[in-house]
Amino acid sequence: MNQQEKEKLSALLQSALPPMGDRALRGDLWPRMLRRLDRRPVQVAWFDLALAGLAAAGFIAFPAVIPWVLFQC
Amino acid sequence: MKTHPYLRAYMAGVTVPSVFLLFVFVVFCVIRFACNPEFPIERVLVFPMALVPAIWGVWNMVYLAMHTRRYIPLGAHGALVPLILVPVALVTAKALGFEFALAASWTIVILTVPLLMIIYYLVWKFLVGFLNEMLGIA
Repeated sequence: MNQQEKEKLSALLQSALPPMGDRALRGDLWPRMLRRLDRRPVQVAWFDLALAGLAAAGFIAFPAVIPWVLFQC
Repeated sequence: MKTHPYLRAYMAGVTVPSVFLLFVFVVFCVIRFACNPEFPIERVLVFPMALVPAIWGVWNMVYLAMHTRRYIPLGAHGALVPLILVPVALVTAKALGFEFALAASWTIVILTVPLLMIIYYLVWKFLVGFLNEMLGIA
């Protein structure tokens, strides 16, 4: 690789990579982190758990339903 | 993300069945190669592959269009899908002559509806709801 090719390769690499000058953070991330920590985790209501249990019981009681359910998922 | 809300709604709706389809694929492949059934099982894949994700996407678009007015919650909206899906699946299965469809009794078919409605209710409430929230829909 001669000098001209090296310069050409260097120019190609520099044009492909974005400049690093404006990469500074635009805002403080800590308030966002605190908001995320304050967010309540997903709460599953008793009604949803009861429904899930009912569905599980249905599959255990009627395993012949499973191919039909898979067919429509 | 303020633009193209219906496209985002479609994408959010399509994601869950598309991911779940991988597991269904595995089940079908195991049946195909391990059990080697008599009937062409590949044809069975047409319905879950082609229609189900599209129906989910369109149904989520319908929810987006409706939820600005007074409307039912997302879980209940999703639980309505099997009421459309089961008859369509039944017609498809009968038309293509799937053995398990021809062998299934009406009891099995009727039992499928409430079970699917429960599953759809939970999946739409938690998974599709999460994706909708993430994509800024509803």
